[in-house]
Amino acid sequence: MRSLTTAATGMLAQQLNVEVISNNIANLSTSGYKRKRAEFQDLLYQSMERVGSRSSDNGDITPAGVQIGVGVEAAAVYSITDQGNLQPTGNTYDMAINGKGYFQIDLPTGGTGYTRAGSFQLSPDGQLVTNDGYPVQPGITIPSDAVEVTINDSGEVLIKLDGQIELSNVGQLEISTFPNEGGLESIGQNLVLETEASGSPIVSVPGQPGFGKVLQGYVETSNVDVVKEITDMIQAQRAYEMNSKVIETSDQMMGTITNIR
Amino acid sequence: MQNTSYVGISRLNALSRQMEVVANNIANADTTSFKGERVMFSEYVQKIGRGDKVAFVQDQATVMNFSEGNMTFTGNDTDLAIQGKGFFALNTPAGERYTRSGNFRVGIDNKLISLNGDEVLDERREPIILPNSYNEITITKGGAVVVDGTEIAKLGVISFPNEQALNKTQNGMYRYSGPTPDMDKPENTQLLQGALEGSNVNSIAEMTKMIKIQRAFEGTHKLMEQEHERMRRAMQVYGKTGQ
Repeated sequence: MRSLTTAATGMLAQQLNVEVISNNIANLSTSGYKRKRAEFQDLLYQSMERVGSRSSDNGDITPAGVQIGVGVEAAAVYSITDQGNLQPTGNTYDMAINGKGYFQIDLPTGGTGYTRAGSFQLSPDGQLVTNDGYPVQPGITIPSDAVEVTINDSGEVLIKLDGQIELSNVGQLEISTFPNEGGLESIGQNLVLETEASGSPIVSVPGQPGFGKVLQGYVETSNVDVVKEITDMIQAQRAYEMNSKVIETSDQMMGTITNIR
Repeated sequence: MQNTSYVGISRLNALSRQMEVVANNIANADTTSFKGERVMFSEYVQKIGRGDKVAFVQDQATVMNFSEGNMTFTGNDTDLAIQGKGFFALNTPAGERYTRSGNFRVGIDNKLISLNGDEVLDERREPIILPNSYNEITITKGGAVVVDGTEIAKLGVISFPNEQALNKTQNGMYRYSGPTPDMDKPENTQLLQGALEGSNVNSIAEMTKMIKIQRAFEGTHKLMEQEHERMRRAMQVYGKTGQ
């Protein structure tokens, strides 16, 4: 009975579906989180071509043969990169990107990570770092005697020193975009890595054509839609149950065969 | 004399084949653009002499149901659903394949590709290449790919006179064995950006079908058992007369 294993592939697929959904719901208030979606594909088909498929003597052929599919497989779990809401925090070093792009982060293991969660802090020596203390690339250091820090749309970091009237520029934030954002690899801590599927990063200053603008005092919330996730979860659970019912029925049919005399 | 049992076996075979198709439908109840299938049965009549005939059952074909699945909105710019008849064309290593799964991505060389990495073809059967960086990609209902206000290509949509002539391969793709058709989008077919076509499997219908299959299976088993019993008794009776 092929239907036993076919239904088992269905149960595995739905289990993965629920795992992806539960991770989305768990990250409902993670800043910069992009919701994931599990995508499924049908597995290969076994053709049982029949001698009897010729329907008449003058060569007419019934167009469809008997094809039996053997189940379903998970094809991909990809991120949906639409914009999350922009939530005002009033924090000087909170930055959201309105549009496309990722901040670049120096990883302690070497290499560059990318993030849209722009809730940054200052390190003891005044450097702009993430919540985990990883420095933002290119490095920006805020002098300790700065009384006001402004970051404009195009990512220029301007400070006002005590007693001075003019603002002075202490750095320029840069952001990266990718040809295929869905191909980025998530590694946790709100970070993603470049992969062969995502393509190489294209670095530019914010506000250029094709790049988003930086908004100071805001963070980007996750783009998870709870109502959608919950309905998806209900659907996945029911589909799981139906597949298990198929296994049960196939088992009973096999029981019947065993009893043939 | 054994014909009753053989007819029963042909029925059991056909039913278990049908069960496999139902299991595949249910397993793919959440697969993008999956088209449900059903088995078509036909009689296979055999003459057994003196004008008597016995009809066996044979599963002649699996027929695909090409009705449209539900639209699910994903919010992804390169997800496309076809409303109405038609298929996207993909350039695969094994030749041209057709699909209704519009879950496309942008590949490393900026080409629009399917989930399995095959190029999506435009009207002229060329791959669609997007610029390096852009703000916005819009795909119109007519299939025009517009990047930041400039139309760069038109997606190819193919329709077939007889969709049953398509063969399912895997991963939501179909093969067409006839002459390669032209890229002419049917007039009332529209593309929907940011949505995917769901599976068109009706779970309620499949579950009830499954129950029916199981009952028919048990019924046929019962018939074979009674036939066995009848023969056993007949042998007892004839055996006695012979003494």
